[in-house]
Amino acid sequence: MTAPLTRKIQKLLPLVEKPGRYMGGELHMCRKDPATVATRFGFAFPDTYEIGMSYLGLQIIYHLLNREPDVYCERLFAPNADMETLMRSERIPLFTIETNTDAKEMDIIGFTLQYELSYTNILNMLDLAGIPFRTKDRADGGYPFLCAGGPCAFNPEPLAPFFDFFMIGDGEGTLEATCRAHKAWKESGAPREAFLRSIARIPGVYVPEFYEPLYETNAEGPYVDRDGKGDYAGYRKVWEGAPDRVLRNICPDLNDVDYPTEMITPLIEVVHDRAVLEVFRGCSRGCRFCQAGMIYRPVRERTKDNLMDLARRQLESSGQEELSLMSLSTSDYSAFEPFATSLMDFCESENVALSLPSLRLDSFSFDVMNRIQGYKKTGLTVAPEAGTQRLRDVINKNITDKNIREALTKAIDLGWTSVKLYFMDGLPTETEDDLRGIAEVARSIMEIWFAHYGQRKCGKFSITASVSNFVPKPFTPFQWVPQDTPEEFIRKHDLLRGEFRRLKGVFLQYHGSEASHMEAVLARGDRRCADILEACFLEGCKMDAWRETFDAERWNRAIERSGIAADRYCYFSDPTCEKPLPWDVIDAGVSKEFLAREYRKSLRGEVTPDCRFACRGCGMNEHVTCPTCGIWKGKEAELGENLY
Amino acid sequence: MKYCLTFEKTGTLRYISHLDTMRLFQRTFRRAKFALRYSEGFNPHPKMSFAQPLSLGYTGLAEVLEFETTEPLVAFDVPDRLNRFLPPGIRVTGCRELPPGQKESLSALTESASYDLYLEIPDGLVIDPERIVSSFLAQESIAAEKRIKKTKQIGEVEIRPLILAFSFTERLGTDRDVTGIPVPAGSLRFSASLATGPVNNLNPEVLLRAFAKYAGIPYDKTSSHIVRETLVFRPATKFA
Repeated sequence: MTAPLTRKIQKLLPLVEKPGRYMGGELHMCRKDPATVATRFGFAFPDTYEIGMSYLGLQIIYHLLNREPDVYCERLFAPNADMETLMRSERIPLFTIETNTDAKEMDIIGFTLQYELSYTNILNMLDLAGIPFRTKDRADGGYPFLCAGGPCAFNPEPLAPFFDFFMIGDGEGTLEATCRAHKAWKESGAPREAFLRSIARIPGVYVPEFYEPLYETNAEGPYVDRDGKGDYAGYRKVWEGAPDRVLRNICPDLNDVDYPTEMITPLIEVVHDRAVLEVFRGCSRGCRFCQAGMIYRPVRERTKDNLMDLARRQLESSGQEELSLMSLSTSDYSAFEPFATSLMDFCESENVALSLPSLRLDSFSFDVMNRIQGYKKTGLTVAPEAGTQRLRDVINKNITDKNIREALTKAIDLGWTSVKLYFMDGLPTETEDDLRGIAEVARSIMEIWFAHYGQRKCGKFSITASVSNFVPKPFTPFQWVPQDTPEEFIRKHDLLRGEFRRLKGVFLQYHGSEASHMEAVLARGDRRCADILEACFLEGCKMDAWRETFDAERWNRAIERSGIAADRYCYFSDPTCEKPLPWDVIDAGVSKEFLAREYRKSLRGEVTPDCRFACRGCGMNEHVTCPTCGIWKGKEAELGENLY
Repeated sequence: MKYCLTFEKTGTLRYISHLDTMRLFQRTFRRAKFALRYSEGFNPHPKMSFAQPLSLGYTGLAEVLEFETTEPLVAFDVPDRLNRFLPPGIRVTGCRELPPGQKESLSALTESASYDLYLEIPDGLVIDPERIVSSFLAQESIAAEKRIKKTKQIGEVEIRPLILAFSFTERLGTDRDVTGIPVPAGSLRFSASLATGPVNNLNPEVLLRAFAKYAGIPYDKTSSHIVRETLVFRPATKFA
């Protein structure tokens, strides 16, 4: 083992912005003697410290692994540009925050895949670590095993040539089992491949080298690679011992898994600087564009008592002054009213600020927000996602114009003076009327304000409409639809700008269309995308999730350089829902038949109500009991239209 | 009840900013279950403040923090109660109660601070520090470069009256660990007492930069290591 890099790193600290990013030493950072463990695990977040430390999954994984006596989990982040330049010139490799150890000395490095635009940072971090990108170039040993997990791992293929294995689904269980297998393998002294074989049957583990993708050869048409290959044509197993498909790991009951109450509390300010409580995992609404709504099924709630206890312990151990709830739509928690009331009482008595994101804007939510925000009203957020009822039915976003109108009337009445609206453009079946509908929603809200306060106070109220470009994602009913071209997005943005120009006090925000193109290619790509990513590295792409560092020219040069027909992935379209998909090797739990059914319903504008009313046949209950399935049976009339 | 405590900020924790140090103490008070007094108003915050901010990168050996509680504390127990929750690098060394009714904040009462300063010099540079210090101080006026906060431009300030004492201590014969900072052999060590506080204030780095320029020593951010040893307060005059 080489001497720790601490001395060399410390010399750089006075020269960089926010040295606290690199020095560790935070409250509840885990300190272990690395010599006493069998497995050194580097948890890698492929973005900056401030983003990574705001991610709850990091805290959960760190806690799960460090609870194991034979494992030491340390953190790795992408250095900011100033630090990276110095590290390269001083020849300092990527290092762990905890012990300043060279990343290469880890036994396993696990990257979390939160968004596709972070993939280029993975390669940059591996380069900083001096680790060859491709699994085949690491075959002679001496390097850590590389693995990855997180939502983007549901289509692991674009990164498959780089990683020894992936962990699909809930980390609880898979992570510990993998590390135990690693210890056994290390003690056995067996060759590298023996380890991968030993974990291939752990729930949620996918080892890409046991599967070989097939492609059309001598292909014709618009999307042909330089070497003549065409569409993805399925896969074949190359080792019989591997499972035919890899079912994601599912924790049936979150009350049985450990949740960290002693979370690492950063010394410097990070994006989300507060205690976080995961109320439940999963969502029963079934929005057709939303990957999270599909891959985290079923809804699994923590009990109210469990949550209150976790809140108390977490605040006690961290001294945090703010507590936030985390889940896909917090007001759907089945005991939301009693829970929110107890939590507000508790936070008030402890002088802790409570923040409740993703609330449905019903009357109880307003009571809650009114109480926790008092006179300091922050902005209100509403996500209609589409501008017309027709398109909202297509995407199964269960919110009506009436809901929006009523919520905003109430909000304005209660004193809110700003609202943020989230929309998407480029959704399937979208027309210009739907785009004009986005402006219409904003205009109708402005009218509510005028009706309440009169025209003259128009400057006091502000609406921000944020429109993001739709990206079709694997394991959603829209996995078979093409993305708009960048030109199409630009045309739509121009149309929106024209519509919004006439609205005073309304601001329009939209995202760059080239970055959405990159996101779409990597989201539905197959193994050949690894060539594109390697070319991205050579072209110098990194920090592509950041508007100021993303460079469309570099991205396009990388595609050209790779010789891969990248457009094949973002414009992929299959109305038959029958063609093989690169992520078919993964079983997310929801069936392909269900997704196809939902896709066809969407084209007919038919909605699928929340599965708390009745089972919608997504296939999850073949793997696990759905705890909230049908709990609102017969309550359609009572809850019905207020359940947006 | 008003108290003040002294604490050390050493090692890498010196890279934690003033505001981050404030947040760290707020959380630590919470964890130690001190009944801090909160300000009134819509956005209540705990009543606590540092006597003097310590610049990012400086070590402090006796920094001062004052705070108010709603319940009396045993001042003697305070360091132990807090140190259990503080990260290595921050250590509370003492606490005492402030006289009841003292109206002036410690920040307003700060007069000066004493420093232990280290200046790295390039190999082969021959200088006689003792002689240069005395001729440096013999100047009637010392104009130093300083970034003016409002305009963000480099301006010139007169610093001679703000230097209460400045003397050469030693030349390091070997590499030395100064409260967690590795200082290389050959570095020059100085001791200084500088005006500090709301009226007259001199940042030691401004002094070192001016001195290095005067002595012909190349200077950049990594050349100096600054340790604030004590803060000196004038007696309070205003009582409620």
